[in-house]
Amino acid sequence: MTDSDNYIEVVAAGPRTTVQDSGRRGAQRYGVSVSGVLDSDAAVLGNRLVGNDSRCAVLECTFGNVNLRFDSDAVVAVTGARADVGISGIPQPMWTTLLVPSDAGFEVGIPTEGSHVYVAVRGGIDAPEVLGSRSTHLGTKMGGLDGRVLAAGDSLPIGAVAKDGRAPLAGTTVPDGFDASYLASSAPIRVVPGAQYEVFGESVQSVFWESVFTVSAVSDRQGARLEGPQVSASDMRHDIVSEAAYFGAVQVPSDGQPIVLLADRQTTGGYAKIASVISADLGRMAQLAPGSEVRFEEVDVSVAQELGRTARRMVHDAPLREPGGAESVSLICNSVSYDVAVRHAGTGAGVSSLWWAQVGDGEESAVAVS
Amino acid sequence: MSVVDQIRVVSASDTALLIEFGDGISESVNRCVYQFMDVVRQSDIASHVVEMVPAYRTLLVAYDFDAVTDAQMRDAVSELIGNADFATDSDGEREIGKAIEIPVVYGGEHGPDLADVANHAGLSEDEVVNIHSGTTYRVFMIGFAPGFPYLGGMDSRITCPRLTTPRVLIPAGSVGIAESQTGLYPNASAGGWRIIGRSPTKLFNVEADPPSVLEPGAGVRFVSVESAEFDDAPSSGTAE
Repeated sequence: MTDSDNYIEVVAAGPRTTVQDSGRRGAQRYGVSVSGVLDSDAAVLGNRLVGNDSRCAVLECTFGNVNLRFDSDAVVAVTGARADVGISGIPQPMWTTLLVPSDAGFEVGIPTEGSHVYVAVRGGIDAPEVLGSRSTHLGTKMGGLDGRVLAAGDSLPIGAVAKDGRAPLAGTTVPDGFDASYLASSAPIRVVPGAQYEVFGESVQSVFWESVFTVSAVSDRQGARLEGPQVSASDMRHDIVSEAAYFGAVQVPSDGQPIVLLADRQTTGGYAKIASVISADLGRMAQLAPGSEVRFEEVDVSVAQELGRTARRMVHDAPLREPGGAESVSLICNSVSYDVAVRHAGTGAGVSSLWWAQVGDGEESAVAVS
Repeated sequence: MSVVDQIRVVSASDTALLIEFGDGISESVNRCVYQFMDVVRQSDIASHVVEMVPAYRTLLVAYDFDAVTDAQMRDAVSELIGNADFATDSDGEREIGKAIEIPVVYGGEHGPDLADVANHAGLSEDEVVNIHSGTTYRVFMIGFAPGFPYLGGMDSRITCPRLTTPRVLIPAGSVGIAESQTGLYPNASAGGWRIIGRSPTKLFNVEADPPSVLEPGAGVRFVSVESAEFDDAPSSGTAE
């Protein structure tokens, strides 16, 4: 990719918005955390909806409340936690390819289900690569935009796209069969027994399986901290010789309150791990908002891997749904006739009507009629 | 009991195996971790491996479950363990021969706790420096923070408890002692270790490949130098 001159201006940053991609791999043995998006399925689908590689950097808007402005027409998709999305006040669907005109305001509200809203932009967020990744690690101030959360007034470069590349049409949505309401599910989070499962003994293991835990407000990108009955016994040791910490590991310090390790976890840790969240449920786990209740259910590793493969095929490979409902009209301009496909996108304050128009087989563009 | 008999392969998650090479912290167990990491790198399963994370007594092998199942991975790893030629103690001599040398300015403004460590040990400051710099340490693992080494092998004569009140800011490169451990801070950070010196070597640098001067599993020697140029970030000179 080459540099483009296009930028996103952050008008309102929300409380905890960071630049994240698929993570910083290969340097954990040097103590470098992986980081990356917390809800990979949502970020991958967002990238696919705007025609990006699935690993491109997106905005992870934790607790939403973000307002952006694009300096040129942009192809955008919003996925993840359920939140209101608008273009200059005109409500827009999530999990859908959107065209955002250059002069419009782009608003993401506060999530009503889940915590992390993803904004994918065609071309990706072109923050500098650090050790092969653009992901922000807040603890070590690495990657993203100076290793920090975004602030109002920030300007984010958008990556260039190949000249012959085509974005999906506006109105394209996620594959048939993908359940975009997964965050409404109260089903248990499925886990496999962890590396030190035996250390906990039968009675403590029962507490873990039978209890309902609450996600604490001090949870962050390092870990989801849970509150509930003590997963501990007076005669058990919670300390272990430090070893690798991995995404989804449920570690239990001596206070008996489990912590589910997430993307920004340190590379190694010294607490016993009772379980590990399966890949297919990691996004739903990481999305749980403070105050949410969570239970755990054991599955076999082979079952977990089959569920993981099925979920990955759906998210990475299943065809996106093309939009319908376009009307074809012919326009004559300077004695040349053009076939134009137009679809109505909405109406709202300030703009009486927003249309998507595609001339011949060229790129779509957004047309506001006021 | 042979090395192979005490190795355990655990399914840590649906994307990783954890291989345990022994129970406690020991040089022989730790050496197996790094030997086996090389075995995996050179094996047929290397292409399915996403990343490996070595530690004191374990190796995490993260893999792609689209390419290989848990059962297939366990079988392949067990076979590699059965065929591996785990080193005897005498092989350790080779590692000492290629130990990384780290220059350190001991004492003075760069080692504010050297006098306390000497008092605690009943030795002179020079004797502490000679003992600390006269040992080859092993990087058992790197973790906690980028480039932060867990070193093994410090002489028990210079052990010293942590500070009762940790310092708010310790400059990058500071060399410290905490109980029976020694180590150095790659980046400026808060910390409670007794600081006996400071190295001008930039230990962790995201521009470098690899980013860490120290390599997990390698040997390290501290070399006493009289003075050095320190490349201080604006904030790192304000340690108490």
